[in-house]
Amino acid sequence: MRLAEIQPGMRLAKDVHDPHGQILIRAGVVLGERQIRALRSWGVVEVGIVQDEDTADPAVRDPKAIDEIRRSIDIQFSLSNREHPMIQALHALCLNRALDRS
Amino acid sequence: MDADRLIERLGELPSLPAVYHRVREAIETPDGSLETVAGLIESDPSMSTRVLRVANSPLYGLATEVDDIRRALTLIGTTATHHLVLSTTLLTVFRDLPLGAVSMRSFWEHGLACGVAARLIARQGGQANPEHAYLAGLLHDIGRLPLYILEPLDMSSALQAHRERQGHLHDLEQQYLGIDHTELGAILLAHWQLPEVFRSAVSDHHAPWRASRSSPETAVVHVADLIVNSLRLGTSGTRWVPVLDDGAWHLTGLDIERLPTILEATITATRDVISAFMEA
Repeated sequence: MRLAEIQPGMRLAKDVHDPHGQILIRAGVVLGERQIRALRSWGVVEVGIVQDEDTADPAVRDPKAIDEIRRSIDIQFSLSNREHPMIQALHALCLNRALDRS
Repeated sequence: MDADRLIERLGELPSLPAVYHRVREAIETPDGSLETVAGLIESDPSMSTRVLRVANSPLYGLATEVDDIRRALTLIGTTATHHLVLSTTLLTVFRDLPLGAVSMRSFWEHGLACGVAARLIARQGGQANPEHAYLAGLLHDIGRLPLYILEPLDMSSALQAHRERQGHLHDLEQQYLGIDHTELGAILLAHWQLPEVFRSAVSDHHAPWRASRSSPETAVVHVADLIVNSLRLGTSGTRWVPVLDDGAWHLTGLDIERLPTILEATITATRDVISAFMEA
């Protein structure tokens, strides 16, 4: 995914390396604004992002059930400040956890 | 609802047993020894069992299983001993009282989870004292006990309005009862003559921006409460994730990238800590 489209709370699918092969950020890390700024300053233009972990295996997942989970997490966070990067990361983690358990 | 009348009625709640006050006295006496404290704990067999079980839980990270009170207290230290005795006492005193809409077990699960998360955040962030953060986390919603016990009807109206997402529960408490659990909690701690250090974490955990008084422990409890609410580890009535205070977040010293680790560790440790506290 192009860096311009990256939002805080997204999870890296692949390690990000510098030109010498040194790992900058490891796969699995949930990106916050600070990491996104860092990626920008390192001149990274594209990174692998874990696609909505819920849709990874559409064959065994009922899209309606997924929507239901997503909606319930959104409601749970509806009175919080969703624009804060920490809340975005927490929302993403809770969503992934709920989907993993469903 | 008259807040003053509610405050006057705090005396209707169970008081803390004499053994707690004796332990505290022994700890605070300059020449007091853990030996005396151990003796006091051992005089109460059910407390001894619980103290040992909790001392061996992931809260204290002892390298090997300890089955002797003296040794356990020496390993965890004086402050942690005081907190351990206070928390086992509170959980025993407020164990079987009915709370109405929320179960006592769920109430304590929320408190313990918040204490566990607060300790982890304090350790990771390096700004707050982990042991103080733990107890402040455990106690943060203690003011809800008198609200549920003394004013069950008004409290259930507040809960109903909260369920309908009319607002945060602490704002609705203010609206329905004229006082919220943070204010009442601090008064309750004073009524029990508990150390001053916990009062600000209890009174300010929804308003850590009262910066003049804001301590790293208060900030840590604010963030821990939010995380534990989002994970729904027990509940004291809150259903919706509260608003994060940016100043408090920065005060914890925590990085966003540490969140997944904190969440995982909180979930795992909470499970063990709950069973250490709750098993008969």
